[in-house]
Amino acid sequence: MNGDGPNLGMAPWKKRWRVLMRRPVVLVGGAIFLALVALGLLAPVISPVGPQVMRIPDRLTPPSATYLLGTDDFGRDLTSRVLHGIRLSLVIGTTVVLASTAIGLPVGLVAGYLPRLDNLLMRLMDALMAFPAVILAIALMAALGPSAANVTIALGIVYSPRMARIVRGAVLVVRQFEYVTAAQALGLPDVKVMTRHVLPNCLSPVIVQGTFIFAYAVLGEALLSFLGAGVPPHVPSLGNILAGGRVYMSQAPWITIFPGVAIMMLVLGLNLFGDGLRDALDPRLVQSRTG
Amino acid sequence: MLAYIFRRLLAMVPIVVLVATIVFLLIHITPGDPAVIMLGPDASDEAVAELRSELGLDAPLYLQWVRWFQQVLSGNLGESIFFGIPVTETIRRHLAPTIYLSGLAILVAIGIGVPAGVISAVRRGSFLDQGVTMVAFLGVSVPEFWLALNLVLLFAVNLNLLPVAGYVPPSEGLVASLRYLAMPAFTMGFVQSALIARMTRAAMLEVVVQDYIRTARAKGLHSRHVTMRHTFPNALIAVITVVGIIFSVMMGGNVITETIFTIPGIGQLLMSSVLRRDYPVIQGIVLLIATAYVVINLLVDVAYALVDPRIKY
Repeated sequence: MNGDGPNLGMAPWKKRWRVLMRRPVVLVGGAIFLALVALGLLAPVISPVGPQVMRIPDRLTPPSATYLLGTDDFGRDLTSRVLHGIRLSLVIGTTVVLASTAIGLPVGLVAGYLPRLDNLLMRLMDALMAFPAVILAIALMAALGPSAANVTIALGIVYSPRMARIVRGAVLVVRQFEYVTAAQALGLPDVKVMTRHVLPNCLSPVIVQGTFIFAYAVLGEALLSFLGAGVPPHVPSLGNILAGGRVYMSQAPWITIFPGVAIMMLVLGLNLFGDGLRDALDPRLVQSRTG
Repeated sequence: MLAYIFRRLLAMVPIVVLVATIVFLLIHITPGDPAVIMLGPDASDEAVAELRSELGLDAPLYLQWVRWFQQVLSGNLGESIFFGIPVTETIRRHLAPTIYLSGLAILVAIGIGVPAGVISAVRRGSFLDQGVTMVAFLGVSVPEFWLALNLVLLFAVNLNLLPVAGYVPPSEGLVASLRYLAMPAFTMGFVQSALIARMTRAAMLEVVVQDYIRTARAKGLHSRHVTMRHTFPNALIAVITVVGIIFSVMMGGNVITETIFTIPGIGQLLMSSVLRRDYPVIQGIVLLIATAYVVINLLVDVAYALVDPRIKY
């Protein structure tokens, strides 16, 4: 790190912003994501009909002027369903990020700051990490039962160790800086040093990790619902729409194509944005790119 | 080295104990009576009571926990409610297809990922590099099951080149079994190759700035020689790490591909057990996979020392 830690004051933020804006992938990723957020937020307004309205005579209609993305096997408008699916994915993504941060951040902060508890807490996180995410999520869903809230709980638990690890890594670095030693020397209690001095300087990796967890959560919901262990089948989630269209893949491929594309764009946008953000927030890279 | 492996095996014990405890608790975080859920709402009270005592659910929690550990340590994971045979036997019958498929998928992932990563590092900033990066981003963003469905639509339904789904063990004809596993192995391999490509590229780029690479170039060595003999071997550590992680991820990823392609492996067994609420089997599989993950991590660390003589334990 070239010993440049203490120079991370306000000025580098400008540098970072410049680095961020200079990378086209970040802009592209951010734009894709924001566009989908807008679509999701406006879903109830811009949907042509309700996502559950059935018009049996129009079932399996290919994309047309009336039905922009076609209809499914119940004659439900796919445009409305995909828009509402995006909306649900955004809700689940946001809540999973909040849940995994709520669990992972305090654990990582304490583990990184108090060596006494480090081993205990991180071994606990290791044990959780030892389960492949999909397996743990499915097992939790089997225990909790299908619902959107339970998907959030399951995925939040699954991804919290990642957040804990990232926070702990950042805390271990920040803990060594002089201002932390100074705060400790002033006799501030551990809790205050952690929350006032250590935590605010560890937030950028949390934000970056948050974008990735958001992406995982979108994929996770789709997967769990597709396997029948996620959101209840009648709810228009992207995974459920895909699962429902599976039987009609050869006659009506649009039922599976459009929700799939929506998932992919959502995840791609987040990954591109998160990746660029990580580069911009990494002081090593800021140094080398801006000279 | 042996001392290191022994220490690591000892360190595994608390993690495996924690893992087993989480697995044990899975059945207890279920809202409602597990026995009722397993038997369904129409079960008689006697049947529920019988299953409760059979599963030991009428004992206090700590006693159940102790019993569960005694069982696990003696290699007894209980009996499958659905099959009525021991869980270990149920799992054993489904193990071969999963390992076979994961092995093939790993080969696909390395076969695509490593060359792509090396090429894009060597030609850094080129059109090729940007192309590889873009495909890698698509690879990590595409939902695996969606990719699988589209492959089926293209190669099985429209082109009629490959079977839609199913499994033939290699003992009954290698070519036939490969035809059945081509699409599932490609699906899993492609998704994971993106990660390998990105890790390989990043590791290569860290190595090329080292002094010994400059020395090798200064000696006038051919650039391909420098890449293959000096750069790549030093980037291998990162590649091995990611392959290790991927192997354990694949055990989970198998759930999707095995379900879609109806391959009778561990993943499909897990999924059908979840739908059947066959808790002993779910617990057994989750415990097996988590333990495998811990062991694979150990093997990865041991592999470090094998490829890099500078690392000594």
